[in-house]
Amino acid sequence: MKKIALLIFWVLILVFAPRPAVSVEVVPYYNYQFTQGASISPDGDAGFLLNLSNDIGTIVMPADDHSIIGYYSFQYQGPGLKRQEGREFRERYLNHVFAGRHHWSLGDMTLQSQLSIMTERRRSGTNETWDSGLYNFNRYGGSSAVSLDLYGIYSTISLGYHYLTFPNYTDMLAEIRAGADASSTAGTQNHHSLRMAYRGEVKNNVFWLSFNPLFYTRQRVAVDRAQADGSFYSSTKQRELIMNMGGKRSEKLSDRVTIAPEIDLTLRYSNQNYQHFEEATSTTPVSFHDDFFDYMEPSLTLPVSVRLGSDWTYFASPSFSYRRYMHRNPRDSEGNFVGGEKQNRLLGVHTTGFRKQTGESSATVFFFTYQHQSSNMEFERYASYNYDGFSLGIRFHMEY
Amino acid sequence: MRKVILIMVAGILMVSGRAEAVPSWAVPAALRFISNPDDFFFNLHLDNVDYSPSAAETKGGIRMNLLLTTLPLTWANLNVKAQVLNESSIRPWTPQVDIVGSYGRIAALDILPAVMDDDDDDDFETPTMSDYSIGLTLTKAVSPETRLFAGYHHSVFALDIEFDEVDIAGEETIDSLNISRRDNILVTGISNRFGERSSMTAYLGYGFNYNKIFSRVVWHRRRFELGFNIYPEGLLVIHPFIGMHWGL
Repeated sequence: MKKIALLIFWVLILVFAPRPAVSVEVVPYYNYQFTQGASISPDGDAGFLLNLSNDIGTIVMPADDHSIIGYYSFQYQGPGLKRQEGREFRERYLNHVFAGRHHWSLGDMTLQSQLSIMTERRRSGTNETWDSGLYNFNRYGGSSAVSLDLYGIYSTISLGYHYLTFPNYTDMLAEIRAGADASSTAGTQNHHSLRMAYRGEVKNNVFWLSFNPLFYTRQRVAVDRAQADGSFYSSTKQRELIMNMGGKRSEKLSDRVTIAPEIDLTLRYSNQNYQHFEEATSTTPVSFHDDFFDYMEPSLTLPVSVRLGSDWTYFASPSFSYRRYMHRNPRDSEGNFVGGEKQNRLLGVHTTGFRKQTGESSATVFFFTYQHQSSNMEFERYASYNYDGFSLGIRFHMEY
Repeated sequence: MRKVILIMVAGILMVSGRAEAVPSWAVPAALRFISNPDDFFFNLHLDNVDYSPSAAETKGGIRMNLLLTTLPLTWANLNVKAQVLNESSIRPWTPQVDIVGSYGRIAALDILPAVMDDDDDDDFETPTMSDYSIGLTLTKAVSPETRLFAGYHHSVFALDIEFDEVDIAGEETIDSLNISRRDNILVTGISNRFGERSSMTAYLGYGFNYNKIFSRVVWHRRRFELGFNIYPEGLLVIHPFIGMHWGL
């Protein structure tokens, strides 16, 4: 009751407060999106996908050189039409993002600061409720950026920090393997994330470079021999570095045709190693692999859109990405590591479809996606590495 | 009459008792219904409720959902919107404020006691139900055709009914429904007018107490509206509906 009274008080203050000397411009923003799709695997099994998202924001401009943006986003993704539970359960998640951003124009330079909170609930098994999901996480943090003209290039340099906590995370197998001296694995996914990025724009070209180091607060690095505490983990904490660089060019080939090719390279380095156990429930490792999680991944996307009339647009977006692990050997169909080569995979995701503008702020998209992946990893007991399949669906979209 | 009631509140359960005669999806669906009947009925309650704002040129509006609640479930319902503040009436940025409330009754349950008296059933207990929602919706026009809105609402559905034991999937039985769900719901949405008598509205809602997610996409004509509700975690994910509305 006290909260409601307080809320009414503030509403009255806002409505009846004296008119400010400077007029405040308020610009709302809204985006609603509903996607329903179906996918068919090579075996003919149909799966469903439902995505609901909702972004709402307000831009308040108290002065010419200041603007404040409040933003809330809600997203759900799950199996959709055929709600799958029990052994047919499919993962689903929902998340909320709250962000506040300040823009300050200083002549040719703009300063941006942002604070954000994100909470994600993820059900990875039918035994989990939304609040008990193993991979639920919360993210808190902020970023600052400066945008200015550098040698004819409109440049944005940003620095961000976020802290991610996984309140329900545990790894029971790791605890069993560690034996009697095992400490709880709770909190081992918690980490600090820094991000330094540069983005440049020249005419229709955009290019970027970013560094994203991660510092785990509890997760220790696996080693090849038992330590004094009886575990196979050293006292060194896990650290990672994710580097990303790329470029994109938007080109209008005619009044109707636009292309926007994009290339991208991701490099990931981790000091984490891998202890291999024969079976999931084994407690004695049989082999040790250094730098097991390092990889490089170039990708190429070639989007094209063709305006067919005042309402209809055709689009196609072929996309390829190739991931190669720098130190990880692939495994044969029996699960044995094969020396002399490194694990790799080629993933293609090709989407095409039509977009129909149905009003000032609404549109409907009909899409078809073909996806294929090939890899030299032949051990597919727990996950598929070589597959192809397709999905199709409809997306309804309202935005202002 | 009792069969009518049972069909109405647990039709899926009744057909699933004869598993060999029904589609393969019916039995799991019935079992899922048993595991969480509250959610299924609350979704029907949400079918009846309308969280969108009243038209700007009116003082409010009333609305009722025809299919699939009033018919065939005899679930009569009325949604009332009262515009307590016109947009820009105090300040240019002042939103339109609507008080929105709804109320519903399942008519078949209300006439059940009279029918049961005739049967002289000593064990019979009168069913009770509660179905209402109340809240505020704030609306702001961002162009002559497009309005954005957000609302906060308290929604309640409760049902207490006992009936003869019904077999479910040959093993499980059910002889009562005791449902009680109340949720605080945040709704945000967008409305786009196409012409004088035609518009489209979409909104997304989130219930804080149960992490409830739902959405509505609806096409409005002068009197009728046609749309569908989406319950991603519901027993039936898509609920199509037809409703009627009047401006005040």
